[in-house]
Amino acid sequence: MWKLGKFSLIFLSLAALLLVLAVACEDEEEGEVTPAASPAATVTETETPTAGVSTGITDTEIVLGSHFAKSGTYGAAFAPVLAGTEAYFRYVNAEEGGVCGRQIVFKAEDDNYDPARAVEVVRKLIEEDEVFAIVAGLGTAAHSAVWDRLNEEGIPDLWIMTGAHKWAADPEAHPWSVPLLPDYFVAGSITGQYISENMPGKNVGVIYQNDDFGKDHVDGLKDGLDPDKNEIVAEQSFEATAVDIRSQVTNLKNAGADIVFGACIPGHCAQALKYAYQADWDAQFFISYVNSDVAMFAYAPPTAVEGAITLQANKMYDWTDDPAVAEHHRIMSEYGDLPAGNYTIVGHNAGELTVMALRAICDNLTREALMDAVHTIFKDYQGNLSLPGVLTDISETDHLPIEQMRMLQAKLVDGKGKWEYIGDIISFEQEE
Amino acid sequence: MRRLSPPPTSKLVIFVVIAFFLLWWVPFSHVLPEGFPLRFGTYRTFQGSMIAMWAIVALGLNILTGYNGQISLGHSAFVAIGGYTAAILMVDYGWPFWTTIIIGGLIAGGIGFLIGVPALRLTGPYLAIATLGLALATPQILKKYDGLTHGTQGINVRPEVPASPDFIEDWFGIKLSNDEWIYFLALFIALLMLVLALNIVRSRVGRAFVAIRDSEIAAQAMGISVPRYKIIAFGISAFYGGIAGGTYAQVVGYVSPESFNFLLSINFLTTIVVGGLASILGSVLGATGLIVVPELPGIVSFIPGAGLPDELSWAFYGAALILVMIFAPYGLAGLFHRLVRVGPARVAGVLTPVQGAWLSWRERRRAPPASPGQTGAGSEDRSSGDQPGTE
Amino acid sequence: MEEFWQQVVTGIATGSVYGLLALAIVLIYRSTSVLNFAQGEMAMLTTFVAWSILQWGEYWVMFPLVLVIAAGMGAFIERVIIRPVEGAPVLNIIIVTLGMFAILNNVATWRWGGIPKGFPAPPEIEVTGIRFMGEGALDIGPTVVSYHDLTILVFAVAIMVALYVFFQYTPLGLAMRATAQNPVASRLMGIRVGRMLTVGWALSATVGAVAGLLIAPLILLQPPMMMGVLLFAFAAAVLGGLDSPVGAVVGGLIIGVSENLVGTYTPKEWLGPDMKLTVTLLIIVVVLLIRPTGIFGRRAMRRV
Repeated sequence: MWKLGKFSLIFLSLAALLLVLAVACEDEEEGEVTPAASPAATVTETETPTAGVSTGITDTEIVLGSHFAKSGTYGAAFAPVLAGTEAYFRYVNAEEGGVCGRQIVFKAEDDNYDPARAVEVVRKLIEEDEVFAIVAGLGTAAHSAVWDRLNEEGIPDLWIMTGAHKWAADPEAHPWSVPLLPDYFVAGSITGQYISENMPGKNVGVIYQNDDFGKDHVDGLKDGLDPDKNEIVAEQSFEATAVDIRSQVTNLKNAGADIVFGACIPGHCAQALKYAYQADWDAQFFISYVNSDVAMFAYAPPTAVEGAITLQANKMYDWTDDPAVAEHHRIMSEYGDLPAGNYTIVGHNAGELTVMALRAICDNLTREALMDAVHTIFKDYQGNLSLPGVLTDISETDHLPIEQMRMLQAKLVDGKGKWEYIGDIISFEQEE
Repeated sequence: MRRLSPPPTSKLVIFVVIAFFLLWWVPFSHVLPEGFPLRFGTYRTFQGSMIAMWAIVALGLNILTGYNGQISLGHSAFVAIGGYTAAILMVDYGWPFWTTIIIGGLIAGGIGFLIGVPALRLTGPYLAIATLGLALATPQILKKYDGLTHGTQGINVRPEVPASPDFIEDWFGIKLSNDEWIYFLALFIALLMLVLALNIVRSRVGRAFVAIRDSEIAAQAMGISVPRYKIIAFGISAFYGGIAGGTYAQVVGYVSPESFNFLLSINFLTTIVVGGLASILGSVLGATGLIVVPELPGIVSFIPGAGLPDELSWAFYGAALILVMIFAPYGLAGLFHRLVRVGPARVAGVLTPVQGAWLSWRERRRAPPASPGQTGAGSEDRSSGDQPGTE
Repeated sequence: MEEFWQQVVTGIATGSVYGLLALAIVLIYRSTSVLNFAQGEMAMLTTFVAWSILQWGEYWVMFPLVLVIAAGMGAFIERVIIRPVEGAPVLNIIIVTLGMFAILNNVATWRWGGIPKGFPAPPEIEVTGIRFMGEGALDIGPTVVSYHDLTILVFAVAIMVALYVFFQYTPLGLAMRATAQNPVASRLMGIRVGRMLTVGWALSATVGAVAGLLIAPLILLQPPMMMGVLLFAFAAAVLGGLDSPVGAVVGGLIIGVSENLVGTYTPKEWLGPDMKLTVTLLIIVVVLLIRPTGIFGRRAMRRV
């Protein structure tokens, strides 16, 4: 069709050059090619000859990495998670002399929530910065793009900061990945159990964000609900970028829902609560645990939030009477870039668990040893910042650290909103 | 490019240096001892693959926007089509990777042709926003029909991405690592598409594209079928997007609805404008910038006293965009052409802000652009919004 | 039928949100022929400024203050960032606005943080016994509509009328239109083109600031808050016709209402709320195919 021009010739000569160069560099290549990692690789590639010392560990430093969205559009709301982890590591370095006589160096790279960029920055962390482990990687799509690589190469992928159900669903296929954020599926299931136990016979309407966050919640809810006791009468989705979800709330009302299960983030949940209140619709709202924050009462009038039920596994940042929470506030104000909040508590938690696991393996700082430690030391462990009774439990066959949560209900005290416990701690019942 | 015409020997030297860089330095310099100047780790090789992949999209979008004057903010949709076609065929049906890339390209191209038909009626900002709608709808469609697309979880292609095939070993006697193989694959596809693009823009078809962009009426008067060529431009451009998508599936190894959101489309447009509209070189430079610019704050922070707060990296990126548009209105390629044509002395003048801006405007007004690579955005002047209408 | 009206009323409420920002987009397009991708972020930033002022001031003190600040910001942006690329191809200016998008969003995140903040609706005013604005809702037959929704709608319509009059009948408005259409001829006619552009940006930033102040109570104040709104506002402006203030508001209302109707009445199995964005966008494209410059857009002549 087109005449082979000069550039085709150039192209052909490029190809020829490729051939020549490839042959020329044959010698250098030999023995240098990294072995293709087998999918089930459990062997840590210790590149340094010294026994018991691994990539990312020097005599003075332990290098850890993370990927998250610092800037960009939707990322910034979760930046406090990393700020919490960062602050805790700084605190350990400054006040406890680091870990195993070494300082923790924490490198967090910005991935803008973009999977392709996440692959890029995680490869940078692994190959250029030579991190020992990835800690608190954030964003479901972004992390989905990298976690297989981490498992293939045998790099600990600890405390994933998204609640997608897949991280912990198959620990044998992904032995190096352990999430920390309460699993959306588990949270949905626990809410479902609570509804069926306490409100049988009521119709449930579901409103969810159209992504893995929303869908895992809804799957969990269906898992936890007893179909004989409660029926789901309507399911309505909305996009994360939606401006207004009141149309969907109206549809739930018209479908005859008595209970609304909202897998939404604070902005949308507040809008739904406010609208139901204005429309005098007294449905019982259950909202995702990401809303268990006193800020909800600033997002919507406290009277509108009143009665809504959410759940939590961690202590909330406004419970400053609690010594652990008070300590967290101190750490954040002295070492943190951001003020304390529920997300910084989660991040702090990740830092604390990491340091615990590292301390257990001081004499053998390898990646396998780290995973072994993670699998063995967290047995019914009561974290400082977890709710009393919520026990962290990790083993080789169970990568779901948090399987218990407690319901919270919004109460009005002197016109001010407050979250109060209702009921006991509920455990997620795994169906096999 | 023909205009550059440095002496033949230096041209050859430049060519050899570039070839050496692309074919040996990027993929293989990681074997050099650590600390070797400018040594590229395997991670840089991967970045090379990413640049090759984005260059393919940029070439395609440049054919549509730069050469034919149709603005598209919907190219993430075509990349998604290519990426998902490759992923689904490879993972669910076990097809060999190279067939899936071609099929992905063809499907995207076919859809591009179809979209090109209604696009005929729209111009300028109306076309831009309508195609932005395409980019917005794509993730929603991918999430909805999850029987085919695996829904919000995305598709992990990595297990299916082939290792270096045997023939490489047979022919060249070396075994490439996965990274090196994927890099050569992406580079090969990109070069192939680059040669194709060069041929297109220099062919009768390409000249028709430019004629339509500069004046539809004049083009029509010359006997060019305006609708036909505008549709062809859309189809070719979408084909490029699809091929890039197929390459994406191999390089990144994972596709999900969030991988292809509208921000990606906006990035593509930025890529070609910053690189240089209606310029093949510009497409490549733009794609390189897309990968390299996010690293710049990190590089700058090595210079003492020049540390940029990490939190402001996105603002840094925005400022870079604005500065390029002010001081290099024809993009990086335009800057490059100036450098070659007028010599570094005057380009340095560009760096003194006021004078530089003024100089570049004056120069543009006086001298008509030298090559098709210089004509700017479809010669859409400020009144373009008022002169659509092709009926 | 009751359900239908409920959805229409909610749709009008949403649509007036889109229309409000679309007005700002139209204003800039009309006076400078630029699609401003940073419009939403400018509004977001002024709303953050408003939030800071509210920490020590009254709402009605803050309101005019923020409008003045917004106008200043718009003029500043035009003078410093847009002026150097004046006369450049449209795509170059679009990229410059995208660069501003990144800067403004990042600066807001850096200065005020990414955690959402609650933002108050304009407080209640009573004029001769009739209540305007404030919290709460009004019962209107089949459904309720909040006072805040009414506030948004009233502001959108009022700004729309004001802009219509401004562009149609005032010398400044006419001069701005002339500038947008043909800067060279306008300059020959003695219009101070540069000043017109500055005024256009300043006005647009002001309208955008009003939009930000009224939208924030609905979706919380946070850096990405205007993202969704901006996309729909673009769609609204294009649907109504990029040079028509009336079109902006009508376009917004059409999108708001059709979104809700699509979400409610299409078969849930293969469309439904999951696909309401897609179907709505498809409707817009179909309308554009019939009227390529939008519903109220001026049909352009072909010039040789």
